[in-house]
Amino acid sequence: MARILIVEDEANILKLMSVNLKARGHKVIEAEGGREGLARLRDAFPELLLLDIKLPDMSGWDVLKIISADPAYAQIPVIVITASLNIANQDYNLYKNLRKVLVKPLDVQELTREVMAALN
Amino acid sequence: MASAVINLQKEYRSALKDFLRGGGEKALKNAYMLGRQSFEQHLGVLDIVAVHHQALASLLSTSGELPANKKVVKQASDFLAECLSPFEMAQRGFQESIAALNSLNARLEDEVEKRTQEVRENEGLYRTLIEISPDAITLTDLEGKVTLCNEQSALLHGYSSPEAAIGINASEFVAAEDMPRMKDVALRVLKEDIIGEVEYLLIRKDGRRVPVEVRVTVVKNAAGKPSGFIGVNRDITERKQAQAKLESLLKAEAQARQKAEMDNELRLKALAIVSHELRTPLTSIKGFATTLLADDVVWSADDQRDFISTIDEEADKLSDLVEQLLDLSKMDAGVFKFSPVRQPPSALIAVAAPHLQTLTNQDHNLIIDVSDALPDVMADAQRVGQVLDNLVENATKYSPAGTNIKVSARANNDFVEIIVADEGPGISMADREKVFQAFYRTDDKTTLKAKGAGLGLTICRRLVEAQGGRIWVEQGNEPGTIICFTLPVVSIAEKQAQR
Repeated sequence: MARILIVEDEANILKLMSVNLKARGHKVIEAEGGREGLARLRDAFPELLLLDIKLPDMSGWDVLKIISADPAYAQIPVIVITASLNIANQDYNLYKNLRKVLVKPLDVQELTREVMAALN
Repeated sequence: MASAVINLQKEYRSALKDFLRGGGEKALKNAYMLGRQSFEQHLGVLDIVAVHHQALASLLSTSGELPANKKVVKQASDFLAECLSPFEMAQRGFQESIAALNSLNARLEDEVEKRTQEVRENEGLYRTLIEISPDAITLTDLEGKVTLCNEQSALLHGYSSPEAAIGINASEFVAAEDMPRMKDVALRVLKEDIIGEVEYLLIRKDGRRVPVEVRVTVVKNAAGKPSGFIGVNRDITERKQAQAKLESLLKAEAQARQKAEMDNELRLKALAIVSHELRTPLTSIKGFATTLLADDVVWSADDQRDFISTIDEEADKLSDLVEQLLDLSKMDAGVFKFSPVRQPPSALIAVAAPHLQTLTNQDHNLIIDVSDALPDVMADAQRVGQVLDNLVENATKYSPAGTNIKVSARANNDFVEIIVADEGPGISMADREKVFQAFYRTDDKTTLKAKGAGLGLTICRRLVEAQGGRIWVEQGNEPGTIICFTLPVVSIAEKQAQR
């Protein structure tokens, strides 16, 4: 199916997304921080990025800004996953690659649905 | 005068002879004319009497001129009387003048007396005004030397009575820093003839500083020239105090408002963090449950077991977090119960020890080193146990397996210090205070895997402080984390309770 990069620092949530996507035939690449995620993005060149916002080394929004500014990644759609209450403060137009914002607690069925939609 | 007497001598002799020879009324008139003339030439009565005697003697001694008898002498006397009559009249006039002058003087004296009385009454009125004024009134000369003042003024300057204050220089009672402004006002008052107003610090004789307000104007003498100043001082200590109080109240209000705003901001921040912290385990629990229930995937028995144990683990985390949040809210609401009891520190540790043992059993060696000789403390054994559980559990999370975790105690003045030390990586200087903040987590990579809710040390701090102690991260000689907390020994605890 597709190569999907997940950037998430909460081990159990990373595992949750990972097992569900793998069970549906995707190849999953995992990263636990923003910098590691950007490195995986360069060397694995995934077809989709699932990005957590509260990361230990940098904000997910900053990761997204870097990706959106780089034409090399223009074709990679991004789904943001956040537990934050103030997502309304973000101007989504700044991020060309952003397809969807999912709010925790995460609904697994919604996640698999949105992944399929973003890949098509 | 001499020539006037000589002239008179000549004329008198012939006029007298004329009369004595029967000159009658006409000759007698001559006597009067001679008298007038003499009076006008400022001759005296004695001069005329002398001239008369000389003329009469001469007439009588010359033979053939006049019969020398008593009748002649008597007639001559009539002549002299007539000659002297102008003098008599003049004297009468003089006496009348003196009488008139005397009566005028008397009237003037009456007038003066009346005016003096009036002035005295006015002066009394002004003096009363000055005396009853609640303000301090001071008259000075142009140099500032006090010439008159009321009791209030004397007291304000630190003197017992107005008499004692006369002669002092009012300018010496002005604080040095206010002197330039005072001089400015005095100059303007002199130049522009206005009432000047100025606030200054008055330094009393005894050195006490009194804030005052003065209204000052110039005093002029009869010629209209400035001769001094009159000042009305008012003690504005109370006004200043009220002002200062108002200012401090406003400041306190601003601070309280700022604090409330900050508190509110912190609360919002805490709410955001709490919400995140609650959602994270919830996401795993709900997510793995949904995963297990998915009808498009068949999970292996191993996968199923793995997912269920993850749910179990996350449910524990969630439960711990809820428990801790509940404790903190109870402490905030003041319903968290503390029952401090007098007891030796070793007894406190003995109560906690069994549970600490189970916490460390698997991977670490727990060493308890608490002497029975330490002074008694006031403490709640259950709450101290809670603190020790937290600290020891943290130590097991952050230090490598097989290392020691040591719990010890020592007396330090009015407190007993309880120390939990591990042999892990320790806490960086920068994080030593922050670790007590709610939800704070160090950026240290090595601690990333060991996750709690981030409330443990916050709760410990609250528990320790509620019992009159302190908690902090101590600098040790060896690597590892050393956390110290104190409990008050009985004497100080009693003092604190009395306060």
